[in-house]
Amino acid sequence: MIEKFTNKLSLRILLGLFVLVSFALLFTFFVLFQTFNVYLFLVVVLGTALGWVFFEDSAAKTLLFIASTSAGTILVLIAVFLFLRGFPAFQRDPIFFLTGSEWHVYREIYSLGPMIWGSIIVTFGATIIAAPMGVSSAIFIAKFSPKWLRSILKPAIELLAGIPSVVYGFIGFILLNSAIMDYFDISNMGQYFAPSIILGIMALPTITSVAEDAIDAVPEHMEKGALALGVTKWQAIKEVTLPSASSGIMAALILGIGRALGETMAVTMMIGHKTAFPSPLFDIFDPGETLTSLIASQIGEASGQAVEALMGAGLLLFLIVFVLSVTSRIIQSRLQRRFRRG
Amino acid sequence: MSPVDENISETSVVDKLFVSVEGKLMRRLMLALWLVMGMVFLAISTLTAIWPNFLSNVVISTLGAFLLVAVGLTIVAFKLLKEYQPPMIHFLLSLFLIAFSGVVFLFFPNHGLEIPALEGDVTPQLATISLFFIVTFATVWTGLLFYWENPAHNRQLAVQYFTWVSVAIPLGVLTFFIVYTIMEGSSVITWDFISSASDLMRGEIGIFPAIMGTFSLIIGATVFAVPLGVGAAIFLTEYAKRGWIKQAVGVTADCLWSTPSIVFGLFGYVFLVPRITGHSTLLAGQIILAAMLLPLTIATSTEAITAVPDEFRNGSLALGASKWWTIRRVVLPSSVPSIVTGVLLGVGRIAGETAPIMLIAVASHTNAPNFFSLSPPYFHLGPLFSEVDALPYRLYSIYKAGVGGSIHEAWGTAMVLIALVLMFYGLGISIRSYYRRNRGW
Repeated sequence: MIEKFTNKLSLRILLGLFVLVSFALLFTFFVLFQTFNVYLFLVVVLGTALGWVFFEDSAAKTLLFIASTSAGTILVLIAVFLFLRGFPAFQRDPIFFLTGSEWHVYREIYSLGPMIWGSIIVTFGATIIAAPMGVSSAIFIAKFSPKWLRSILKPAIELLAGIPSVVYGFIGFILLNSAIMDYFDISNMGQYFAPSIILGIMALPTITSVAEDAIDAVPEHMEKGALALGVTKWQAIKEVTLPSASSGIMAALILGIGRALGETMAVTMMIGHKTAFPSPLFDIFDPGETLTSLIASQIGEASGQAVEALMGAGLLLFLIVFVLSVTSRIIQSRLQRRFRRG
Repeated sequence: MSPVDENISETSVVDKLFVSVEGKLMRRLMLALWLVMGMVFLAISTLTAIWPNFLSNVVISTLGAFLLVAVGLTIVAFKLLKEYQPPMIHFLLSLFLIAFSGVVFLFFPNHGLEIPALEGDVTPQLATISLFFIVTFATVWTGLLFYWENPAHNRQLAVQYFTWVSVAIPLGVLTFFIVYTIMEGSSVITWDFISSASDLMRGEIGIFPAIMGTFSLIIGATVFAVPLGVGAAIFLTEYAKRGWIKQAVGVTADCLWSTPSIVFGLFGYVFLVPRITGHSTLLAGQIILAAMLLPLTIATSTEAITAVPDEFRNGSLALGASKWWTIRRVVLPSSVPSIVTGVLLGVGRIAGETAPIMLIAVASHTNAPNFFSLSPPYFHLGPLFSEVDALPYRLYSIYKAGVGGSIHEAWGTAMVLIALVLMFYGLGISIRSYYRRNRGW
């Protein structure tokens, strides 16, 4: 009996199970009942400490495993809670909610049609600006630039992504919005046009760095082979490297579109906040609203059904970006697999 | 299209004409033409910016003719001279012209090219836009012609210049934004502005609480995210044997990374706020920012740990060390610099996030969070459960209240924010380059 108890393996498993169960309980209580049980927390901390002292190896492994599930846990929590709060808005009248043309807080009519359309216009404009520039600067960084320049350019592009979006929004609002208002002689400050330009600049670093990785991942011997046949470097890039990296570049574009779609503050500061379709439908100089700017500008004062509708908008946004990033991930991993097989 | 260009057509009369001088004269002519044109446009744009009524009818018509001739000549030259090598200066000059007319476009909306002859029909604004588009069009068009009409080597050059330009534009924008913010903001930055709170009674402005709030937000986020992220990375690289676990964590981290920041805000609003005191708290902000920092930490740490050579692990294992011992004493220490770099870059990004903390952590004009005191207990947890101010939110709330009165405060805040981000990036990048130069493998 005593021997069995001091058998380290079973003791280790017992302690591990005990701590894991209390952690699971603690987590469940926190998520479901909104309480943070201090006693359970102490049990978890003490048990972990004990485990660390006596069986450091397996305790470390278990802790690391729990850490590796954290990202997934957060993602699942986001999905579940947005779904719980946002789904009622879809449930009432899904078709009207997604395609209707009115959003009136006072009359309690909520439909996301104009905002979805606005997001599409702004993202499209941003992509037109960011895609060609992003891909060609990726080609430059990966293929044409000398090494020293490359070591400057890559951090600089990273920095472009690091400038806070409020600052982009503020500078855009002060300079671009008023300049466009003056030049095109328009009476309204915020249109779809100005945020598209700023969003294009903001989506560019994502596209550039992912596309650059993709171009860099193409094995050098492929291009060398082409060069040996006597073609110029650009011909080798165009006929060999770019086709091989095309799926990676595709993934970069998708990620860039996701960035532009989800960007919030810059759009909120530069757009006109008019929750209706532009007329005519393609008028990029009309004031408008996108999904993100709708949420950012209205959630502070919203109550009741409006909150549900905004959560619905958030859920929609989350789902679209989720699908986009999973797609780009699948494309990327396919690319990797192809080159690993040679 | 075949990889080898077959664009060598039979020689025409004109071709011979140009070939007879070997294109040399023409080449120099083109170069001189574009140089002169650049100078003229530069001078005129500057003069009109300072002195709006500078231009007369004669100047305008001469200028127009000049531009047309230059574009025409370039097109002809590109069409006929198969061997024409584009001087790089041409592209640089065109780029410069575009940038310059862009700057005029932004800064002097009412001082563009004034055209007296067309008074009433063409506003100065319209004229400046036209200048902008004409120059852009001329550049793009000559570039395209150059690409289509020339042999492979020149195509290569054209593409090279084009990619060069497309790198230069975003970098130009970046430099412009930073320089402009510093120009506007530096007049506001004083020691009092940085080190004290706003005093509305005395009309003094200061952003000290916002700076402290931002720092406590990012420090908290780092404390939460780094152990989880690095732990996940260790598990993925050292323990996970099956590919699908790596795939799954990679996919979730990717999705988390590209999730819009406002969605994080909504999530915090429905999940964290009711569970922590029911109103906006610093702690909620820290946790949400940690969730945004986590995927980046996982990605960079995985990369850093994978880069440690296997010889290190095998050597340690061969000496009889256990796996965990090897990780702790060999693998982690050699990957710490890369991990630190990744975390610093990530922190630089989340420092400026506004949308997620807007709903759950901040309120304007609160006091600076005060964790420490000189009397016991020396450390307080109270500020974790109250609201803070943060730099990006301060900027947004100034915008929301109407920029008019407090534009200087806004530029000052923006400048401090940019300086903060630049500091983190600079630190991260210099650690990385120092480490790359000095590591032993």
